[in-house]
Amino acid sequence: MISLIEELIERKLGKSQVRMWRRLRRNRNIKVGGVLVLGFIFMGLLAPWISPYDPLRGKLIESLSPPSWKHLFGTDIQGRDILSRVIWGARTSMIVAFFSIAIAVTAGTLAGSVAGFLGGWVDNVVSRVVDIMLALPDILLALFVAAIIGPGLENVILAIALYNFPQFARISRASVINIKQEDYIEAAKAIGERDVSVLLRYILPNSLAPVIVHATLRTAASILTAAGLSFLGLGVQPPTPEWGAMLSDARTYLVTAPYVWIFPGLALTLTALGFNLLGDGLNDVLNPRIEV
Amino acid sequence: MANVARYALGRLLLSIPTLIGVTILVFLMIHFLPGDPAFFLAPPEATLEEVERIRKSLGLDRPLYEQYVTFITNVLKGEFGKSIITGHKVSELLWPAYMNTLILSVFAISISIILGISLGVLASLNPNTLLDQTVMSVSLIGVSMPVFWLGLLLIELFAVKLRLLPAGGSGSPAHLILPSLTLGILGSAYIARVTRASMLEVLNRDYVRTARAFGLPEWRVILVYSLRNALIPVITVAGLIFGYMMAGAVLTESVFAYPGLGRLIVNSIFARDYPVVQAGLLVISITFILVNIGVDILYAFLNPKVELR
Repeated sequence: MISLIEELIERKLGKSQVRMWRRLRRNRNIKVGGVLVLGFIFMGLLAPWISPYDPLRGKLIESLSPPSWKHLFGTDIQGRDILSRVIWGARTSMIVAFFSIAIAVTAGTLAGSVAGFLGGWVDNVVSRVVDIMLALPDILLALFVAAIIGPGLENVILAIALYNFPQFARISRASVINIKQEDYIEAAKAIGERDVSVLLRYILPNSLAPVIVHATLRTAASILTAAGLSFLGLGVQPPTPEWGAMLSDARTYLVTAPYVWIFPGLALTLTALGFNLLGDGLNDVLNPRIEV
Repeated sequence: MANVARYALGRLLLSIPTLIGVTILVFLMIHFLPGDPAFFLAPPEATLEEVERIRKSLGLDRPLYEQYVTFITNVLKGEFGKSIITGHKVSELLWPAYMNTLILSVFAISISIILGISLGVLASLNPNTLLDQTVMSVSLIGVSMPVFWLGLLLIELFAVKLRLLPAGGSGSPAHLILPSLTLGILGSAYIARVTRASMLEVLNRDYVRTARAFGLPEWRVILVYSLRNALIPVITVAGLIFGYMMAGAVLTESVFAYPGLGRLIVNSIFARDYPVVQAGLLVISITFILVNIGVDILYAFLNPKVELR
């Protein structure tokens, strides 16, 4: 079945794309990372159907029951099923990661490529702002935003988008400046293509590879930072199931019920590991400099 | 040498706009908050007259750029105002916390360097063996692990199961072990990966092959000829990680209830103690920027080939 699908995919692709596709498939990091990431996305998307219990409602009589056939991961202090909360936690993390990275990639690529393409004072202004933002570490920018606009799901997304923005701006600026000097861009300009269409049709598509690799790696870091903010109480608020917040709740009965904090942490680690492996693998395949 | 000094000076000058940018950002924080800044800087139980007095004394009724000049003058004098909750001078709260974070980071980076370099060298000397793959896999898991979860795991193991170390708090050297181990293990994962890559590159260089061809003992080839050169990028990365530890120790400090700067800031955010939040963020940012400059200069000093601009 799988080989049939693979054959169909290969038939659709051009010759060089087939080679790329085969290299992607052969890379072990991509395989393992891909499986972990797919598992995470699967959990997040299907949470309402696959979680055995309501993640928000528990029976107090079952408070802190250890893992059993009824509750595979046990229950928390309010008697809520931990497996269900871990599954729903994937959905929360997925929402935060997807929207924050999407905003950061869009805004960053736009600002970076316009700066790289136009040069001059536009480039100067964008680059200085990016420099200042990059001079501050991730968690600090996130704390900064949390201090101003307060906690909550949307605010976490905003905080994480904000600290990822300058990285994507810098990467796409660099690759646009590189590509700008290629012959085919000169050619496009020579036949009278307008600036906007040169940027959109020729430069942007060719500058995407490093952005994709970085976005994958940043997703791992962003999921961890979002969980960290929630752990500190500055992120997603209870009773929303969120892995970092679950770990924070569990601290009070660390000794008596280790199963309360083991599983959310494991889920976080495996998810971040998946995105890191996938990012490393994509980097090996898409970034030909490594092979030299 | 003169070159490096000139580079260091240039690097410091170049960082001035960034430093000013950060102070503007921290200064504006109070004004980003929805509402009247004077209320955020006044104690919660202040009367309207007291709020007005604070508005006057801080110059909040004057134009923004004048307020900024006042703010920056006070910062340069080391005056951050008073905590609106406890009434203590902010600087009196800040420095003990800063020293605690500094001590924690120094211990953590030492663990990272020792552990990371040993593992990285070990892996690079046996490339593509089981040992190498294990080191690389474990370090990747280390990079992916949330630091607060690692902290909980270590508490479970050393404080709950083995009863060897305190689970949190401060006051004795024993209280430092688990937090610095937590931060340090995380850093060692990065350092091991960089060391391995750097060693593999150096081991293929001509001078290493020549040293071997001359029949020098293997330990000399590795320790003197290879490692010394391979360490240059490692030192840079270690410096950057140290900066991140100073700035990002907040999660570790929170797990272990360690009275560092990050925890002070988070607690002050919850207490809406904005003078402390402002001062804390400012001090951390400046430290982070200065550490990065230091790393750049050190790199230039260690690697004479680097292009000095």
